[in-house]
Amino acid sequence: MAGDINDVLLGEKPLQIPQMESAPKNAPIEVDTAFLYEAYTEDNIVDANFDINPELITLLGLDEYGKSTFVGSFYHLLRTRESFCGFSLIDTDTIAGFERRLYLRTLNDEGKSDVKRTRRKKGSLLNLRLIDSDNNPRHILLSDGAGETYRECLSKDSIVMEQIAVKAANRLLIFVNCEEFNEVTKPWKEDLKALLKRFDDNSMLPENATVYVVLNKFDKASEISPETIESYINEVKSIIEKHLAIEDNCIFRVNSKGLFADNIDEGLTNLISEILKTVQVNRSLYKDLDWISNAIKDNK
Amino acid sequence: MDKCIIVGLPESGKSTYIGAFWAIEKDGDTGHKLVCSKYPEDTTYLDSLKKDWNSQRMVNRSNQLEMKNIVLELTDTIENKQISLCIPDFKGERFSNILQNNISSEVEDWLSESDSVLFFIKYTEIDILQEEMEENPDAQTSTTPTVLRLKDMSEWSKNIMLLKYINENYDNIRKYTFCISAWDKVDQEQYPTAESWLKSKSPLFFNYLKHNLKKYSLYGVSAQGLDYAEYPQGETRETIQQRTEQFKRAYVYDTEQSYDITKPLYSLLTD
Repeated sequence: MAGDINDVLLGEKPLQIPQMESAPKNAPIEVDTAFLYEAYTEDNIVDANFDINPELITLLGLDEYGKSTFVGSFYHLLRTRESFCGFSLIDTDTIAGFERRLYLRTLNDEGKSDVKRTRRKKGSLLNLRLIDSDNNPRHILLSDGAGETYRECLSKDSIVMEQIAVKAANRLLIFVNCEEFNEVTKPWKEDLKALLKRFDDNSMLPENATVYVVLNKFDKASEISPETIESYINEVKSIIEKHLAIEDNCIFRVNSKGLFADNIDEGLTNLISEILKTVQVNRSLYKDLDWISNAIKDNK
Repeated sequence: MDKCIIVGLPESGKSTYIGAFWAIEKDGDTGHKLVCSKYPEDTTYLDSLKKDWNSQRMVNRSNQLEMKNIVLELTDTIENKQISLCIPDFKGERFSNILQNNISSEVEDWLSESDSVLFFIKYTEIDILQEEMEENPDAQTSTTPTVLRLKDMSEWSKNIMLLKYINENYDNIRKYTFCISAWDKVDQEQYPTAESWLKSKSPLFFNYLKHNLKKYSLYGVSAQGLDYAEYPQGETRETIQQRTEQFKRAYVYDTEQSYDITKPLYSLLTD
């Protein structure tokens, strides 16, 4: 069994879901199909022919921090409205990648772990082609790397060095899991310190990105007082400011799942509005249009 | 002669429309915009669909008749322009296979030889995930199966993927007409045009059409003319039979209702 899992993680063969004990003996085994328009990987994005230079928005955070939930919500809000925060979604080359992230939300924890193992091979770069009310185009590329990989970054320089999407980011969204605020031992604090220090020590933090702090699952920080929450937020800010500049208006309290029909989570709306309202494209590092490809090639 | 291929995922209404089309238009005596120039050589399959439609029962997609490539040659009664409607000898599953990177040479050949597409879309009120996420964002439905299957994706997303594939890979296809099936289910007071309905139900699909296609038309289509499971108040099998004989049963809708079900095809002939 261990050998099978290693083969899957190395991409040698597709994941085969084990048959449930109650399933009939001849029940078909589900195989994870690759669809058209999956998320880009760092290998195949070099072949993408973007007519408009995309802005790279990288989500940084450990597993279960809600990055993919945020991505799914971002996509869902755009796809179900003619326009949202002044922008209309007119196309995406990674629609199956977004659908996978939406699907993840329908699974419980056991189901999610199976999906996540295979998703690590399916690509982490998703694009959105938008226009504003004056028909000006916007092209956004979201980097939604596997949280498990970022967890490996806590301990290994070699894994940190592979995180080109962090280094090349125009905007960096640092996720914090506020559900962990309920834990006395503050696991979020040590993880955040270790993660940012490793990236900084290896010069893998972006030099000119706008940094956002996403206090995700904020609604789950329910077992501690508001004063304690605020003190924790100040600690988060202090940790980040040792490595990156952040502005006060770039800290967002978010419930990424907050897609209630009549009442979308305000923090989620504010964060998306902030992302969309200004363009952040740094041309100082790479002059060519194909800057993502160059970033990847330079790093190989 | 312009060549139009009929495209659509499974259960999108293609066969029902074809059955209705053959039943109504085959003899060219309806006064509609397009008429059949001549019968195809072998109409066995068409006759089978027609029979189901005439009998006011669901068109049987899974009948055992061998499907053959069918080409209906149609002529514009006013300007004498011609268009051939190509009905490939494969079912909608071949189009859904495209979404799983399984593109058969037959599909490639058909698409490469076409000038336009009659694209059928299954009537869908809401997508699978939208309802779950908005009514209960914390809902977790199941553990198995855990792989994403095609049927877990929203119908609208699958249609965008199929359309995007065709639009990006076949420059020869210059025009599209989209037909939303089962239009009899739509509240036409709330949605006075097919476009207003689409904008409401799938803004992304609407935005994709508007910003990525050079030319397209959009129609609601009720090929059955009614929901067989629930006849409209005041209607019976006998009254529907009368409508059938008067060519006032199947209809299309863009900004108004019309019994001329050749209109979606006719729009592919006009500039």
